[in-house]
Amino acid sequence: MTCQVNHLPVLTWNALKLNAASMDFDPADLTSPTLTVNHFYGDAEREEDLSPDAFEARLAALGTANEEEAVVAGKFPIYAEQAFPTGMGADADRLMRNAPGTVLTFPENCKPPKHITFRYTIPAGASCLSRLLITVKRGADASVLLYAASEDTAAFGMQTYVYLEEGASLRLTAVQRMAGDSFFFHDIGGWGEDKSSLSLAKLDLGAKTVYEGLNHTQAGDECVFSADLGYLGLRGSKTDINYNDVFRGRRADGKMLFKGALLDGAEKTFRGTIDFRRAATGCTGDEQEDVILLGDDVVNKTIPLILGEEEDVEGRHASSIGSLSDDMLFYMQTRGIDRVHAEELMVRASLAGIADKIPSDDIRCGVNTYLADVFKVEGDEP
Amino acid sequence: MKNEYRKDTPVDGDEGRILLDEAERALYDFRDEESEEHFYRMEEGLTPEIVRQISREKHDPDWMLAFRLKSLEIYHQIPVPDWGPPIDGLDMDKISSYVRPKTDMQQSWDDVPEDIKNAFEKLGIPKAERESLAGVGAQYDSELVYHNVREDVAKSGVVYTDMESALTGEYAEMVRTHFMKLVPPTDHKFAALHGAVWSGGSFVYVPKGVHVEIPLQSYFRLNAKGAGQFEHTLILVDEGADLHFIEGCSAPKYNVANLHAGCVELYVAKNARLRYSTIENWSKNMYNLNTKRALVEEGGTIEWVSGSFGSHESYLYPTSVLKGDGSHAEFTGVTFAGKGQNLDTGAKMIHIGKNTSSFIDTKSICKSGGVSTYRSSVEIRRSAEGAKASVNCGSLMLDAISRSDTVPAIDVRTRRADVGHEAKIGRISDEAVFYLMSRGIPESEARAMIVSGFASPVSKELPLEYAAEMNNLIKLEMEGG
Repeated sequence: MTCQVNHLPVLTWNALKLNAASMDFDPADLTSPTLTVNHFYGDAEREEDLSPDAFEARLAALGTANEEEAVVAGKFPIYAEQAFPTGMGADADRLMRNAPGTVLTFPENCKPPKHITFRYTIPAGASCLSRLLITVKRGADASVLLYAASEDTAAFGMQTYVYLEEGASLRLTAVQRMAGDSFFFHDIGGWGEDKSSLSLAKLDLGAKTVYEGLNHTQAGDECVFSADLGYLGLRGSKTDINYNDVFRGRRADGKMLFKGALLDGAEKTFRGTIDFRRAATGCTGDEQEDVILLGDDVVNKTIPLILGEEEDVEGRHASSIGSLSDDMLFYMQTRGIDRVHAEELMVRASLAGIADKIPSDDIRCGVNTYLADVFKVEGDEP
Repeated sequence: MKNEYRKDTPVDGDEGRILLDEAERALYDFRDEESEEHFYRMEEGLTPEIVRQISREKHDPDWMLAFRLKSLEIYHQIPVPDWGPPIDGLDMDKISSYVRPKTDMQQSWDDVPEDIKNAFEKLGIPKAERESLAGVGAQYDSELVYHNVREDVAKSGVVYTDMESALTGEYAEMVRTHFMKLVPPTDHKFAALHGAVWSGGSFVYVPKGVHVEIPLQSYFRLNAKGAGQFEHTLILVDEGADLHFIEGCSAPKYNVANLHAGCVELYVAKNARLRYSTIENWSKNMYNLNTKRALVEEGGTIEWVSGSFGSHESYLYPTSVLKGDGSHAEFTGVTFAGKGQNLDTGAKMIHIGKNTSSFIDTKSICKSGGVSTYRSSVEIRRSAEGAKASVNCGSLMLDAISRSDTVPAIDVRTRRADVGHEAKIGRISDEAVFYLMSRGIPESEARAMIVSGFASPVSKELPLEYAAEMNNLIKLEMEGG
């Protein structure tokens, strides 16, 4: 099945091939990932293996469905109906139509002392899909870690929905460590009511083909949202990202940080949008992308959008794309650090801020080991 | 929480303000009535016969007629763009592609018909020529009515003439070699339209090593109602040469659509430099679908300075193709979208040669329901090792009924590149307005001053007279609506 995913909210020149991405995924012969849940906190509620219809009904009940926007001042928005808008869009919903779902609910004022870990293990050669709805009720404060891994080539797609009630807070961390020529996608929809807070940290390390989508709607007043996404594009890999931060409430604050490195032949497309809707007064949106180019034949495409329908806002985007400067390399070499190790240091430094947010020691150690292995050269001490 | 997307309706300013706006715009909005006695007007629409008729009127060589007809075919094959401002209000069946005053091109203002000369006098063109220009071309509707170049500049070998003369005269082969090679009719729908019905425009050749110390200018005036203007500007700056070319345009406002689909092709040879400045002030019934492109050879420099104030809708993205090693491009632009305007502007940079560099600095301002979109692309190809690019775009929203978007794309295909980008959107700070008001400056004037300051990266790149015109346009836009 070929899906059109990761649409830009407004179109640009078709020749750039940035308006959307094509994604091939065969939904036949699906198997279930092995899921283990650690540190489950007693007050949280977990419902597993919901039928697709039951899961859709739960989404629909949240009242987050997007409506076709009115044409405002000449803007013609791209629109596709979704019960809960996500970054990858309506085609990802269709792909997930037959996938079972899990619902995780944190009751009012629930404050678990430790993060809950969902560890998905994908059998070699398998194709798996999984959906998760996290609802954080009024005043609750929770942390969830999603970890997807395989020991060999496999395919895994996840959809994660986050619904935050008034004053709710969630730290969501997601790490992907799939091996071989694996295929992975993670499609996220977020919705925050008044004074809610969502802090997202993600690392994509391993899969050869990666699609990442997020649409977070800051629907209420005084919401806070932050997203830190790190990736390492290995040789011949393809990474496609589409993150949208939609401001609809007042005095909301959003920050998105994207850091990554591309090795030989790696290809990455990044779409990031700060979308200030009318009446979203007093909001600030900030987006930063840093890419280190480490290999020949890399392809790095970036399109950061700021859409402004409200005067009383502050929006900023910045990008920095390039390789290690000759001056930096020379400095490193004078201290006995060769090019490969200098590059490793730079990538580690770039991703360290995100890796540090992983609340699990063993997963964080695994990330560090993985990064060391990627840059290991023959003759290095183990 | 229920979705509550609001369907906002732009709010009119008070009537007194609109009247003031209209009165002050009269500086650009005056119009002359067309009469059959003084003007030749081709029927509306776009057919092979109309294209043949234009070709006959212009005494085209055979290859140009074939080129026009092929372009028309391409035009019909290419769809309307689906990504920019809507142009469904533009009906080619209601546009006359060719309107010309019944006069030959003159080299003295005294010989230009009185009514046309008056139009250019009101726009200050003859005065500017006397005071600060090396040469002037003045186009009225589809044809040039005046063209002149200073004797000392002509003596240095600089050629500045109308496209029709160049097409059949001494430079015919040079024109044929370069005409629509940089912007082929297959590029997009309105490039194809241009190829089919182009008329007027200027040809400039600056020989090797010649530095033209003061600028040349072409001014385009579209007076006819429901007409299109399709001028073609072709400039070749040879090795080591240097030129500043200024383009100005305006039109009176009608209640039917007018169309401008011009084409600018600039060839900058090795170590040459060309600055191309534009103050665009088309009337607000104009669809401005213009294409501008420069090809820069080794060590060459192209500098674009662009002010976009007019038009109902605009698609305008000057493109620099940095083909030669060490070539360089700069784009400095300001766009002001007021009531009823949807201006989609920006720039494209294509890095092909090694150690090329580009710099984009733009400012967008919107007000009274206007829509301003900054759209750009920076493409660094695999061959462009050592390329450096920087993009800065700032947007200023002056009220809550306008819209401002930034859509910048970057495509890098070599590790040996360094690209930086920064975009900001915001409004005039209350503190800055308060500061100026506390020093006795009225609020409206304070806001206009702040906006002029915001646009200063463009105005400081223009010759004084043009910077003054730009600031006047900003003042007009700030006072109106």
